[in-house]
Amino acid sequence: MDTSGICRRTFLFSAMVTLFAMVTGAAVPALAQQKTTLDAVKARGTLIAGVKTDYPPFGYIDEAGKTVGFDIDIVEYIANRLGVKLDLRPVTSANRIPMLMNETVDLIAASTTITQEREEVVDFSVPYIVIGGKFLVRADDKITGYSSLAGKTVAYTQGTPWGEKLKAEQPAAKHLVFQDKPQAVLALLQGKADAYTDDAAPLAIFAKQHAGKLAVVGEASRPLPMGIAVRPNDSKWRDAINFALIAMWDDGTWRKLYQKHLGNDPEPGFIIYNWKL
Amino acid sequence: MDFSVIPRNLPYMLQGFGLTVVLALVSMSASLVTGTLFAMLRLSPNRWVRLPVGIFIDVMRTIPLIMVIFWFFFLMPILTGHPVTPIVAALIALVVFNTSYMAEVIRGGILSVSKTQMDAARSSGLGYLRAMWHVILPQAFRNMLPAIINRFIALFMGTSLVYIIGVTEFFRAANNINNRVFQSYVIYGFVAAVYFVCCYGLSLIGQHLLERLDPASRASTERLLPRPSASA
Amino acid sequence: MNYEFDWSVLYTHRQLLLDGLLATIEVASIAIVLSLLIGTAVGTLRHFSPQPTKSLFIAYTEFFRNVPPIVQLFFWYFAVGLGSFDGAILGLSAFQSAYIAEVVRSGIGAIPRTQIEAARASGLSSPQMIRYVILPQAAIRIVPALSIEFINVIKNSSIAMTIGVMELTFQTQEIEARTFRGFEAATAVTVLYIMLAFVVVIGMRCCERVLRIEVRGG
Repeated sequence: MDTSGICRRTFLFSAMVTLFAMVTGAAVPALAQQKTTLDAVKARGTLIAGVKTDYPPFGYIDEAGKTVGFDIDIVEYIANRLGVKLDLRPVTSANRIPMLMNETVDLIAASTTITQEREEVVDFSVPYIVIGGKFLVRADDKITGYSSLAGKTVAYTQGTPWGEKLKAEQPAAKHLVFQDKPQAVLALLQGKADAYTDDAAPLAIFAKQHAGKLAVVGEASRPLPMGIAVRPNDSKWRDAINFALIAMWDDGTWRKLYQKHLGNDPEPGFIIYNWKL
Repeated sequence: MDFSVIPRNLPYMLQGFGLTVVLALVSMSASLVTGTLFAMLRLSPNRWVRLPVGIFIDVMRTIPLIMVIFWFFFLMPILTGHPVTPIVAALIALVVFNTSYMAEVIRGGILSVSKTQMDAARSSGLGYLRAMWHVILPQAFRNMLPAIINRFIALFMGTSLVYIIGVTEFFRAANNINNRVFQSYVIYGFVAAVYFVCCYGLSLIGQHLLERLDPASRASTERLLPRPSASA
Repeated sequence: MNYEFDWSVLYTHRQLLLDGLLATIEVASIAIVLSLLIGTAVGTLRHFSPQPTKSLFIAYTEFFRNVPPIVQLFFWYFAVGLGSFDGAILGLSAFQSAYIAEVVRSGIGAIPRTQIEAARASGLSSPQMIRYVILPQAAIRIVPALSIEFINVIKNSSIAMTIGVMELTFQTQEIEARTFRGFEAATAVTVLYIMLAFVVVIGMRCCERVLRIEVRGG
């Protein structure tokens, strides 16, 4: 390879990238979204929902290879109410918002915590569940919370808020980041991580799966609301989802699904807002 | 170690394997066509054609396949204004990535055909494109068949990376199973064995083809590369 | 679809990009050295070994280059239980060493037989012959191919993000997760990868010049 040729090529390439970026930056706002997703979904006859496939009890793959979970049952209810079929797409914490924004999916029901940072980019439905964060640790470890994690290694998955929280609460902890949740559990079992921080519900399931070896302890965060995320500036679509969630609460389905998937009682005081007088 | 997880979950993993094969075959066929196009473009005497194509090819071969996959995942909907399923994004990423490698292989193949062939073809009245199609390319392809097979092996292995954007090919399918059963030695050992059997098998076919070519063209394929390296 | 470009996120999160760059350089450079050492050893030994041992080296080469690198990394990290950094280096080195072994072997094969015969005739033992006659001449021939292999190590290091190494590709996702500006992040990281490859090419050209002086001029 000749050096001067490479210099020329790198320069030309950078010039092309800059030009391209400027052109697309100028042209793209013109492609503003006009239609509402509600019409698109009804026309298509299918609701495309982004769900987790590695996150029991919200979205996971059962023995038969089917995708099941709390989130799946909720979107099934919404699809039935809209009179359309349901098409599930697997998403991860890291790629769920891009998949929504690039219109691959119509909504994401992927255990997404409602945060202000995210609200600036997407729009959330009313909360459909509240879940607190906890720690999954090895059963014989004496870890109780952020204070006992100084100098220890904490695992979490990329794209979740636990990394930021960990930095804020325990700057002296080491971070170990994975793409899938079960990989974090495996790291915990192998001793590569001393704790795995995530929402309480899946941690309980992981602890049950490895009865005796793992325990759920402490409080990584107070109970936080989760919502269904949709693209911004699409009120008709968001309303359709909210009305479905409220109907699900009203006819008792929500409570049944909660008992079925999470097994215990919901956080006291939680209700899905009921606007009907 | 629980070996029964393999037969119990075989149907699911085989489905993933089927997708792997489809991805590999489709992207290979598509990139054969585009690769030939780019190879010929890069041989153009016109500087304004040759240089941008050259830059594109060289840059594509320098960035990791994962980055190309991410690029198309983020970029395509912005460019086209349409939603893109992960599998389409994965296919396009694989095709574009492989095109740059195929272009270089094909360009090498074209150059390995002796110049007199082109001169003879042109002087018998064939235009440039027809000479290419009927005389040069057939000989070039015969020369580079082993290199193409090597590239296919690399592509086959590369499909394991589209797992990152959620495409359930063989590797992700196996991963999903392991995430439930936690039998890492068994599952990943199985995955390694399957890939090994497929890729080694393909390379044996490549070697066999190499032996069937006559000694003269054998020398020229050796000149290309020992075996083009697989990279993600 | 609306997409507002915001290149300032790259400046705000420059620490992430820097961390990623350092991690990539760390993993890649150690893997390059290791794979070169192992690959040279395997390639040379394969060329000169008699049959039973030869098959051992053939098996090594064929196995490690026909299993995708991501599968190898997962095996070392999740099955064997090595740490992120160690698993990544071992996996990358094993994979690339198989390719480098082939490169080295063909480089040695291209040396005229007369060189070997002359070396033996002047009384050099096998190790001496390899050290003073074979390797230097092979080295010059394989510099371009080695360049490609080293760049491949850098490219394959991107896979290490799946086992917890926070290298460049990981940081693309990280910036994306925090700011939702995937396009800008991907552009920056792409440019960084190109620059790394550039460094390797320059470095190899210098090596080639040094080798040429040493072998031809010396």
